[in-house]
Amino acid sequence: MDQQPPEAARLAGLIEGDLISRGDPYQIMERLVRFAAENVDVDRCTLTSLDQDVLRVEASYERGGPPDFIGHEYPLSWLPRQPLLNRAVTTGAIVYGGSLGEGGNSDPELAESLLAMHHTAIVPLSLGDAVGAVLILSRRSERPFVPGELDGLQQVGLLAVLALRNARLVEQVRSAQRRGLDSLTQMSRHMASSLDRATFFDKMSETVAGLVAAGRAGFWQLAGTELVPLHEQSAAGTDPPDPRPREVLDAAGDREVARLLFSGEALRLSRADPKASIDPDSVLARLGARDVLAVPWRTAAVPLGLLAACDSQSGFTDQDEWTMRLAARASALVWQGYAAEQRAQSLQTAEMDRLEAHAERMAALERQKSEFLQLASHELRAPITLVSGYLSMLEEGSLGTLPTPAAKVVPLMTARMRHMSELVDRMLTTSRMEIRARGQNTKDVSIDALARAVAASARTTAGGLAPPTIRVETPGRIRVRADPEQVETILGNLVSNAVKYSPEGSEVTITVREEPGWVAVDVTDHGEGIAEEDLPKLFQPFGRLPGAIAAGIHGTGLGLHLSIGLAQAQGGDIDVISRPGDGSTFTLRLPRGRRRPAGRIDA
Amino acid sequence: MPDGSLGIRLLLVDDDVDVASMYEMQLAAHGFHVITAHSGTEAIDRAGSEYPDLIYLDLGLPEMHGFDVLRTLRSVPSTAGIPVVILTNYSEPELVQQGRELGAHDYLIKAHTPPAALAEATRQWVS
Repeated sequence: MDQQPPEAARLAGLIEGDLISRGDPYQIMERLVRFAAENVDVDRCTLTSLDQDVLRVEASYERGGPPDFIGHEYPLSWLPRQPLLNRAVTTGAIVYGGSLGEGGNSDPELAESLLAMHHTAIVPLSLGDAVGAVLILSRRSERPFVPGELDGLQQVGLLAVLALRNARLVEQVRSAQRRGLDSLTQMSRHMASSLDRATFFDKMSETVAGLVAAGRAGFWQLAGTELVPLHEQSAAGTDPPDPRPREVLDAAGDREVARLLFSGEALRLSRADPKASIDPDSVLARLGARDVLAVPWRTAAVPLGLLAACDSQSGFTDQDEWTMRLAARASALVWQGYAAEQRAQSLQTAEMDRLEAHAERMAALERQKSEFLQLASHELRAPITLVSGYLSMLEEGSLGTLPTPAAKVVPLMTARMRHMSELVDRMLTTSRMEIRARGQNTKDVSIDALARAVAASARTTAGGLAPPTIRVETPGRIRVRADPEQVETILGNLVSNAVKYSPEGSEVTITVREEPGWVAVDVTDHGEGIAEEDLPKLFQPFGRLPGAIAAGIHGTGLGLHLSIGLAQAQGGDIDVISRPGDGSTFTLRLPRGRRRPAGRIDA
Repeated sequence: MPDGSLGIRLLLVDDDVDVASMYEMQLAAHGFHVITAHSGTEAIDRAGSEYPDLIYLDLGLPEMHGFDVLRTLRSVPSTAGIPVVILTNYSEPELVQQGRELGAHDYLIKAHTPPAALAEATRQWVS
């Protein structure tokens, strides 16, 4: 190309620049045809690409007119009807001739202008073995093409074809990237949502089926040497997966599947594929599928199984394999997450069970201890009764007169026996408190509601012609940690006592209030009140038999006695303030927080 | 021997024979007529045949619990009106509560009740 016209030289420079800078391939091809036309002085020049099954006019130049035919496609079957073109494509050598229609039936599809050309040259542009495109050059003038004239053009044309192929690849990669991004977006959405395991694999299978345009897709889990379906979803999500036997693929016995699982290769099988290394029917028949693409599903160390898609719409591609490998990787990560979670949970459960069992053992021991203590104390009371009883009779002389030395030691023995009796009482109290504390059913109690319930119940049971009015005063909702049944018993006792000692037509007030650290309930009546000297006897049991009191018998409990015991078992207490002639106020106090039971119950 | 106690009949129910005889000794010294029973069935029999003025009833009796004895006494018209005082070494508040509900007139702890005190209480009770 020594005598290139200046314009052609400029074009050649531009093409070179375009190729280096990876410019628009169509612009490159358009420049090429112009370059060719001006460089070798032709009236017409087209660049036609040959694909698998189509001839396509990529660029065209027409002297003195607009480029035409661009984008025009001819089926490859058209080629044998064009002898010149056919020769160029099959031999890969530049072919010279007269009109394109020469030497055969002229094609009616060819333009009149083409047939008017006197000289034609066809320059095949080969990539590897195959001709990827041809330059068709035509002259109206009588001047024929000279051999060698077009050699340089063939070199430049080849570059243009390379540019075209690059452009096509870039386009493919771009579309693959777009699809890849979609896959990633959908998959990451599943991973980010806190789905349970079954739902996750359902969704993932459905997504994969959609992304690779498969009829269905699903995970197969390796269980021993068998692959069993984990979850399978059809793309539409409407057809339930076929009920197939669970034992479908034998991983150990099937070489292809084993290779897939352990070497990481993908398996792509189609009934239409003549190059398959194994009989695809053996696997496909078992899957009941037309074709299958399976990729390994594995963590870094362990094969979990495989992810398989069946029944593609138009054959599985490398892009599909990439998508599925990505899905399998992501799902393996999620699987590991679930497995770790499960392990943590089972560890936690085991630890909880252990602690619970321990706590139960300890509680049982405690219970046994308390029960033993109670039993022992009670048994000790029998000898104490007898020994103390006779000692007191000896002391009083009701068993006759003792010799002086004997009479001296009796008070000592009485004192020691009294001490022992007190010890036993304390043991009994302690063990009873422990047993009671364990039996408590502590809850959040709304004490104002409880007070109203107690008042309502007392109103219905109060007798007499004009029973006292019972009024509840509370600042609002007040909650406390306590055993509701026990609190109800206490309040019920206090209120029924108040009603009993109230004059007809008077008023009993239940006041719920808060004190620092405590919740207090006052039960106030307007009865006679209690004489100061009687106050200590209040919380003793019965007390209705004057003889027992008069005889100085240390009593046991009921009513108030029981109430104060219950209050103390919950860490609370009961106080009384009396105004003789104007009634009394009994106050139940319960701790706001949880406390150890304190105080004592009379034994 | 105080006069007022003459003719008063007490039924003392306790399976501990030694304790029963100790109380009996003191009560008898105060002029009360004491009948003893050492089991629940015996107590019901004696109450039905002797019509005591007051019954001291233990709870931990063999074969029949004191409360069952009390229930039976209350259910039979001839004994329903006899005052019953629980005299036991069981001191759980729940038992005390139950005793009251079943109609006992008092609840005494034996270990806290020396014979002289029981006699004095009985004297005041019947007077």
